[in-house]
Amino acid sequence: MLHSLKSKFIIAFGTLLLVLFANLGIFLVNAKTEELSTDISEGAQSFASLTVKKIIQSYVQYLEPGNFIPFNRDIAEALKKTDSVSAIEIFSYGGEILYSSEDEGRERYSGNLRLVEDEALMERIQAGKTSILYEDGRVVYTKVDEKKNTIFVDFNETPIEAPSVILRIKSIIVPSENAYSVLYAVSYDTMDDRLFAAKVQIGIIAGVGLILVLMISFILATSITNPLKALTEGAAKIAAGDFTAQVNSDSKDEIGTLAGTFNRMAKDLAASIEVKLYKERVTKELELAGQIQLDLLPKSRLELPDLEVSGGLHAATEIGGDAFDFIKMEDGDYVIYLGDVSGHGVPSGIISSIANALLYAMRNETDLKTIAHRLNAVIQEKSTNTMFMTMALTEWCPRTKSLNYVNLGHLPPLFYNAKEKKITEIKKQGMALGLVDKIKNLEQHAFPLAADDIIVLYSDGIPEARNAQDEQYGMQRLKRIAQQAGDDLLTAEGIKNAIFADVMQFIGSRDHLDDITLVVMKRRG
Amino acid sequence: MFLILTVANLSACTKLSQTGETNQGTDNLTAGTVTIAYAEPITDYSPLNYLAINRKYLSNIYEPLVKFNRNFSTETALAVSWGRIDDLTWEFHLRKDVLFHDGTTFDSADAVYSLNLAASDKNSDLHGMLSGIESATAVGTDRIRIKTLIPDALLLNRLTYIYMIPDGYTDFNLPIGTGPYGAKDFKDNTLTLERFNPYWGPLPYFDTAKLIYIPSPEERISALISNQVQFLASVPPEEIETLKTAGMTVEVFPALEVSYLMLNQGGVLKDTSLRTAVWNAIGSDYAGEFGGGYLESTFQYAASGILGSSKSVKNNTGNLEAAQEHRSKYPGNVTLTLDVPEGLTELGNAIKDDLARINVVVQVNTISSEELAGKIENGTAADIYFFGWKYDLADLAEFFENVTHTKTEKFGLYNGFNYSNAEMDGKIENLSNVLLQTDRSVTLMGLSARFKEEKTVYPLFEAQNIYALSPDISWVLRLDGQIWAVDLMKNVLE
Repeated sequence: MLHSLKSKFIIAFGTLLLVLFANLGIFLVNAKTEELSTDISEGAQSFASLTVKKIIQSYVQYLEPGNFIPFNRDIAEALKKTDSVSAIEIFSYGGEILYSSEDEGRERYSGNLRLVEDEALMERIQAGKTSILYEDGRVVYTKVDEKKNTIFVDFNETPIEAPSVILRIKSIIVPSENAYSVLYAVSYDTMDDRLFAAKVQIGIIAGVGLILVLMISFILATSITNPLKALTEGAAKIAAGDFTAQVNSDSKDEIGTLAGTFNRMAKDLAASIEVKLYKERVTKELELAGQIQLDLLPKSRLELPDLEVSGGLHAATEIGGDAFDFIKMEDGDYVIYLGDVSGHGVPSGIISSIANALLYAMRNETDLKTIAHRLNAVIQEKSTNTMFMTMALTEWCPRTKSLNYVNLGHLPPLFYNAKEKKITEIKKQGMALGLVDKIKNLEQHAFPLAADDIIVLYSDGIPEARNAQDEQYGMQRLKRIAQQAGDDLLTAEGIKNAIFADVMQFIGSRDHLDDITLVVMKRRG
Repeated sequence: MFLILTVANLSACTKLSQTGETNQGTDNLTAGTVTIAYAEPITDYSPLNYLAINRKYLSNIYEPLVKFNRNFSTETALAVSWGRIDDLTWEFHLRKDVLFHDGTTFDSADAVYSLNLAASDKNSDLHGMLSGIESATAVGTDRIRIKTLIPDALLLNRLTYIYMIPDGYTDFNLPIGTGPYGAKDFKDNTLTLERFNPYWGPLPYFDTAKLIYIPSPEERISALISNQVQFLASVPPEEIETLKTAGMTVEVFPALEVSYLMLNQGGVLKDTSLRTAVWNAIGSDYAGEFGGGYLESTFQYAASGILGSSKSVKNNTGNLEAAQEHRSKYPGNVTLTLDVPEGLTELGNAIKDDLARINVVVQVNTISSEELAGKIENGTAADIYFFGWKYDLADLAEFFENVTHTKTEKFGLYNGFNYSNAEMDGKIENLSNVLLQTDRSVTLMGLSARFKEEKTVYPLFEAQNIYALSPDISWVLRLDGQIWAVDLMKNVLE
């Protein structure tokens, strides 16, 4: 129970208030003590200085001749006038105790001569000036200077430091008439009674205050912890999957604000979960779409008597728009293409899939340009205005051992001349698919391939690939690795793998945002 | 006690011209020096000398066991406490760590020696002051006991006149006391004092105090205005305005001196009716007429502030009707003689005029103070004579004991008016037994009122001391008329 926030709050607040009340009480008691102590000190000294002559007069007039009753009456009346003095003694200068109010309450002392034996008391009796004995045993003498200031001195009248006002006085001795001294026993009973009463009052006030404070702190703590409790319960419901949980709080303070925030958080969390589920579903669908797209690609390389073809695609983080395929036409030729739809994602993937499907649908077509025009017509019709598809569209004619090529806005293929061991870019004009209704001036180029000649088709994902230092892979690296592969007489598969390996090594840990697609054709020797 | 047969403030002085008298003197307050000018020279450095002027000089050097404070009450000096063991035995606790100017330590042997020397030395003026002391003995080194022959309520007051000197010290030409100043030298009428740094009390402000005798009033006034001196101990009333005009500070304070007319009962004034007639015929405002504003009329025997004075004493201004009524009871011509000291002839003539109103002829005799004192002491004074009394012991009893008591070996030394009243004598003699101050005050006031009914000593006026000081210094008046250089301080602008 003591671990609850409410308990901690009440204990902390109560302790704080207890310390505060205790200090306040101590301060008040000290202040009261100083005030009362000063009152008694000053009152007793004033009483002593004002009454000493009258007491001695009464002593000489009544007690010395033996008339005790009127003297005793005078002393009793004098003592009635103050609470600060409890007893009076009269001494002769020689140290005889002439009267003691404590010993002679009702009748005059008639025993043996009473003499003061205490040397310190004797010194005070003979000091000729008022002396004060404090509770710590210290004796100081007072003297009134000509400016009526009271100064504290020792017996030899050397000035000394004034004692603290809260130091209690035990007795005051005032000399009179050069022959007598009157001792006033100072009483703090009244002060103690008043102090006790003050302490009780302060204690009661502090106790009532403390109870009130504890009650208030309980109410305050409850007002804080109840919403927190509701919040805790709400959080538990949310944890259990109930995102409709709401905390009711009419409070305008921080707790109310927290409850409002909690309720908004619950709503946001519910919405966020929905979004998350949707994203998960979409992601799964996209993964499925990506898989379907990959399934559209050739599962193996194309091995022909005079040509070997190998292609590959390293998909980007999203669905890409790259595609390639080797399609055997009805006339025995093979259409080999590599296309790249602008942008990324599902729309690009759909376009590339449509293009692939269209090419299969046109296997009876013998003219490469016609294929290109028909592809363009469909893609232009079915895609948005901002979408287009580049394509390096080739056709291998086994009979002529030549390769026809139509450039549809794609990057120039690389041609490795095995005889010259030289690699060049085949830069031909051509418009991308889907940009216009009908592509004008479309040209078809024929390339007779000699033994070990190589054609490399590639998507822009290769030259535009970037590494962690944000450097671009570039055409030079591509041409150098292709040159190297050609020189090494690697197979089409080997060349493809060499280029992929070089590109992926260059990219390193960095994600590639575009598909990396490559098709390598090599004329067999 | 001190017999005064003249009033200094009534003495004629040439008034100093006010023209051209400005404060153009050199600043003598530099180097910590203050100069006090007196009208009379110091004649003796002995602590046993009682002459008032000498004491004004020497009170800076010597100190008693008990001293008067500014209000003329006794307070501790070289004794820090005292008390009566019995009615005849007093004990005094001596202040410790007190040094004489020769470096020796003050103790009980010095105190006993000083008291015994004052009481018994053939050159001491203090025999009378200490005649009531039977013995003084040391109790250890810091206490002494004094035994008196009879109870002596005025012992403390008497001790204020007994200076403490080192045991065995006799060469009074080199004053050695315990005071705040030590004597340095005396030349050119100037006693130079130097601050005694081991002094037990608050040290004087000025390093050096010069007490200079300037006999000429004009030169004294001039010296103050020109700042060659900073304090004048005696100022003629005529010069007050001159000094005030010059920017000097003038202080006027009761001098504890009361002047009386004594009605001698040794002649025709023994008759009560005639004496009452004369008493009531006297009544002019002599203080106002002859005091220049610096005498205060008084109606009581005690000087202001001493034990026995009472503010409730009624006016004794004359009542001519009553005077004539009583005069009628004493038929015939009456011729009275009146002795006044030099300088007071005008006062005598005024009294003469007053008494002429009741057909009393007065022959005014102006005689020297010494002659008047002699006539008083040998009982040959005139029918009426002028008499002054200075209350050195701050107690009216000294007046009654020395003046009004029947002339005996112990009392009535200055009873020159042949008054004798056994009832009054008994009351006066009993005064020494009244030791409680409150009782004593009541007793003295009662005795004073009773004596006034005798109509034989007529209080005239109370003299006042006039001091003048440079505005550059401050000073607080003392009722005993002493001027202590230790009380003088340079004014400091805050």
